[in-house]
Amino acid sequence: MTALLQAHDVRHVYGRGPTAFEALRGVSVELQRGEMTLLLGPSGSGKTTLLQVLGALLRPTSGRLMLGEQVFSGLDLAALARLRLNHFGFVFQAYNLFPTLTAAENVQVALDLIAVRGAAAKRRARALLEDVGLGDRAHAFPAELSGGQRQRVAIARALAPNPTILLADEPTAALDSQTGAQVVGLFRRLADEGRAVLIVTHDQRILPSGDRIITMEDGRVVS
Amino acid sequence: MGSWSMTTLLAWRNLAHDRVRLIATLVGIIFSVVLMGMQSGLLVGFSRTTTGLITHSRADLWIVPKGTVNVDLGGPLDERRRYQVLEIPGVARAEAYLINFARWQKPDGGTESVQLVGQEPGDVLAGPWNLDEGSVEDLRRPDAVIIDRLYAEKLGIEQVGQVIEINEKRARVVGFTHGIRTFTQSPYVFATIANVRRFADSPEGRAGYVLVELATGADPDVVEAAIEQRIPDVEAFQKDDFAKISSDYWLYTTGAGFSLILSTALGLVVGIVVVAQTLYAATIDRLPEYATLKAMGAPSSYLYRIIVTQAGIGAIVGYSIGISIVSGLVLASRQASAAPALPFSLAVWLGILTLGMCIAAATLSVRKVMAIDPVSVFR
Repeated sequence: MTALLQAHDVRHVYGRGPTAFEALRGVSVELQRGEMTLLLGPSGSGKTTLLQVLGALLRPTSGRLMLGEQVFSGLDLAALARLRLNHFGFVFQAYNLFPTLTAAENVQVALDLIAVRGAAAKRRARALLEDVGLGDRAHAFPAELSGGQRQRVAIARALAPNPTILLADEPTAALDSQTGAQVVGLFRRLADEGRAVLIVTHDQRILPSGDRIITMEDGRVVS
Repeated sequence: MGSWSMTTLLAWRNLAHDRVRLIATLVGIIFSVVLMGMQSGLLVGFSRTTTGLITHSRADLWIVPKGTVNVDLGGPLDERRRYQVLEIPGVARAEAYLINFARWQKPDGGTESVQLVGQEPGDVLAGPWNLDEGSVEDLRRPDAVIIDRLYAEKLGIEQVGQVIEINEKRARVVGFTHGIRTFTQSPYVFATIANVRRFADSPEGRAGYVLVELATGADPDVVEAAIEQRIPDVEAFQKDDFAKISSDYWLYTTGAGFSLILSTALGLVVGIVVVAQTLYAATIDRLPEYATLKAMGAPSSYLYRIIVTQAGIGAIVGYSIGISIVSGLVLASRQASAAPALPFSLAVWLGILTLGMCIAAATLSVRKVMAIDPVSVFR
């Protein structure tokens, strides 16, 4: 199987001189289509840094990153932004929804970025919300939604540009077990539809749902 | 267009979400617009007041004694200059004009300083305008004067026909104008030049100015130069130039203009500070969302658009309310002796200034957003 996203011998150092901290020490990983990968490790092990590097948010100090056949580790910031817009979807622990926009409008913002606007954007936002089970809450504001519902709106927003890769940072951390299971089930389905899904987590409850588990420690992949 | 509508929605919701902050922003903008509008309106009003005699004349050229700095303080000019002017090619008509301060004795006692404005009788190049009662022809009477209703109470006059004294010489009010203000606060009193000379004990043959109407097709620059060459102790000005000299004198040598410009600038600064503060606070509140947009791949221009639109909405709403207040105040002060003016061009300039002010205020927020690191979304 061809890897959709590859990292080869990636290093990342924060700061310079005596205070420099090496967060990634020669990490090599691959994400496959249709696979849900869980990234585990203690705090400070480099999980989030790896997520940022894989998600084209952070340029590594060294190493090679490839999306399909395209090497993107040397791209400038504007090119990386375009790459994220077209290929990556992000889901965050704190949801980061615009509190002043309804669920549908939050999704429409993401569609607006890829120039899907007007009635087409409304239809697509509605369909995405229905896809995550929130068709009847499209006009609710985030404050009117539960944590699980907000996370599903965030997932619908992440899916708006139809990304091939979904990267999630502790998506179940703020959710109860039942809601967390629903969200993980949603990620499972998205992976089964052919996307590469990477979830950074401390949540032991979701381990059985992953296809593959990567464990990090001190900036290295240990298993 | 579509992109604008989503960023506009976000901008509006960001603004409207916090009502207290929205009100603070709008109050700041409205205060600024009203302050700028009233101060610059007063500047325009004063400018119009100081030049009313000139701009309402039909004279193409004003011939003034050399060194004259404004229309209210003209030096003496020998009336023979009028005949010399008439000989210059391109001059179709020339009339003597005289302005003289005098003492007005009110019917019930007390005195006021007035400015007598004398012109030839009949259909002349300069005379009273905005006549409510009486006519220019009525000025042919030997003691006739016309005053403005704005100053009627100040001068102790209630109706046409009342008799008063000017410099202890009998005069009769034969008409009223409206809206003719004076910057010196000594009201204009219109009369024939002969009556002005009599009231002011001014010698026969003395004038203040010679007003010139050019012949059809005459080049004002050429005639102006010819007059100054032929008559060395005078200066010739085209109407607009003399109006500007007069206006600049009163507004800038008295400090009134500087003070008004300073107040206008103060309004601008207050507006920038208030809008910058509230907009910045609103931006700080939304930093995680802006970071999320950046992480999603939104170009920086998308985020700037949201902030600049917020500033633009504030400017439009604040300006609309502010300019309505200014219009109301201008209307309410129509009868005041110092009336601000709000010509359409000033209203447009105020709109541009308000928009500029709000966009300038947005730069602080834009700088903040520029500095957002998309990875901050994970912190």
